[in-house]
Amino acid sequence: MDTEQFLTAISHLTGTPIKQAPSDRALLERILADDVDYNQFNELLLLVNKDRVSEPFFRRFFGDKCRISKLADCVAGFQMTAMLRYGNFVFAYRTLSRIDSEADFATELGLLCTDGTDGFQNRTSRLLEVEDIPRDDTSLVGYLSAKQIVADSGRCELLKLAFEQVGPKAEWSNLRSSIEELTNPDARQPVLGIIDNYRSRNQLASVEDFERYVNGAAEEIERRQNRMLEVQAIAIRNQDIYLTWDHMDVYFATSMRKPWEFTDLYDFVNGLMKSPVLSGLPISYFDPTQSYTKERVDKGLVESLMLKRARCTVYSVQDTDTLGKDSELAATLAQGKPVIAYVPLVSEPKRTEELLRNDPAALLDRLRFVLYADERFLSELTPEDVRFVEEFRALNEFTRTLCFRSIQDANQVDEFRKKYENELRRLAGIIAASEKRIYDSRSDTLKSFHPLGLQVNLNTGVANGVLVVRTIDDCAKLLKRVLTNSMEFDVEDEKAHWSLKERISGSIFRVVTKNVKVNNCFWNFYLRGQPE
Amino acid sequence: MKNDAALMYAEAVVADKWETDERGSYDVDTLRQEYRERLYSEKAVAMLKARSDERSK
Repeated sequence: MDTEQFLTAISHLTGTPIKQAPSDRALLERILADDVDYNQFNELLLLVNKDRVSEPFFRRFFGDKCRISKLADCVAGFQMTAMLRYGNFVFAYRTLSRIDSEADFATELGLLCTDGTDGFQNRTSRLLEVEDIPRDDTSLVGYLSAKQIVADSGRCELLKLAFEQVGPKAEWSNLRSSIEELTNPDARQPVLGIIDNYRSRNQLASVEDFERYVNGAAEEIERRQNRMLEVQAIAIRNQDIYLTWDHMDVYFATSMRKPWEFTDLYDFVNGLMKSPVLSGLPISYFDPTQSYTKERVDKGLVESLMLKRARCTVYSVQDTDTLGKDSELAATLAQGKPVIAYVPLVSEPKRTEELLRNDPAALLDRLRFVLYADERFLSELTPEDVRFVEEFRALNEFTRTLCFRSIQDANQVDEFRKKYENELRRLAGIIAASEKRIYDSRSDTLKSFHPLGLQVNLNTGVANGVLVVRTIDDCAKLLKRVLTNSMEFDVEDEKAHWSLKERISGSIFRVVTKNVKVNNCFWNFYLRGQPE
Repeated sequence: MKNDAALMYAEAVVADKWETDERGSYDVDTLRQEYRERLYSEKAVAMLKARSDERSK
């Protein structure tokens, strides 16, 4: 290491430039040896007009002896600690270099996410476990599913009342008149729509045939409603169990409205938590697909408590942003806790096959989502594909003419799938390609562009960045490192700032700005408090 | 052009707006009551009441 490199390393260590006289440099050139001990290191510091360091400081960052050739690596180790704990090199150096007691030094540093301390030590097993709600029932804990089932059930009841009023041999016009009498104008159209949709598929059917169909559908809706009540009861008990757990490690931030959003999250949570990488770790996690509360206010309070208690948040990035989960991401970062954002890495052929297993209504919903979220949707498509998307109305028509939305007619779905097999495959491919664009763009935004991908711990002022992963395997590896305090980083000297990059995700976890004005003003308010 | 396509597909949403309104309670009994009040005309309410009175005799 030459003198210039030594001076640069000491400047990085102290966070301030070197102010040296020409005579200092001449002396320095004479004595820069390969190994220096604690006393000699302090002599070097004084020679370049910097404050001496305490013994615990020297031992922590340089060992028993400092090899000058390795000085830059040792300084990077200090910078990593400084960024993790303080988000500031100057304050870190001034604070830590003056602590003489080993115990005080350890207390001041606290637990760092690189210590390798097992976060699960001395943890006993939980008294109660949550009861698993199967994948295909998870949407029943959704508020919109409940309303849809209640509405379908209410319409069946009303239709039965109308059948009773008109009798079995009635004409369609009598039935319509009866419905108009029995309904309020605002809610009438969906009931009349059931008749229109039924007749569009059964053109020769009589009112009596329709009555039989409604009775059958009503039974199925009733079964679905009963299952919903069972599932909600399990989910309410699960929520009570989550609330009592003495440890909470992971909170899953997500937004779920459509049924496929529940199953997508179920698949992700199960894929992650059953990963061999995490086996053996007794992780306690709050899974929103397994929890339910009847009151919105309580739901908000429960989620806020989980965010407060969990050691980290795993944010499941979906097609669109929502206020709820974005707030959860921000609340976690503002507490100084890690956020792992999982952005699926889409393989178009695999995704196409997955989409083809969706029911047609879900496929249409997904198409609507990508049309909303993918700014490049039409510009990326060939003119033939644009025409195909615009002209393939059968899917829209199929979904629009469903009599009831909370139940499915399996025969009808199969028939539709067979009839439009090629078109559905082509559409699924188009949606898969669009989802890939959306997720790649969201990953870039979170990782590189969005200023709020990095937010400040409100207590300490330390900037905290979102860790973006693209596969479940990487998510599991990173989650393990987070929960066992074994995260690994690289310090990078960039043009406008120093950054601390997490190794698995390649994401910026901490930064220190090189803008003197921003740095000075920021830390004046954070470290010296707000003026009264 | 993108908006035209989006609007075309937005047409598929035909549900009662009550179904997508996320305000209020999500207790199923409360929802049932709420939806009945929204759906049933006075005549339907009277018919149901008469039927219920008949059953309780």
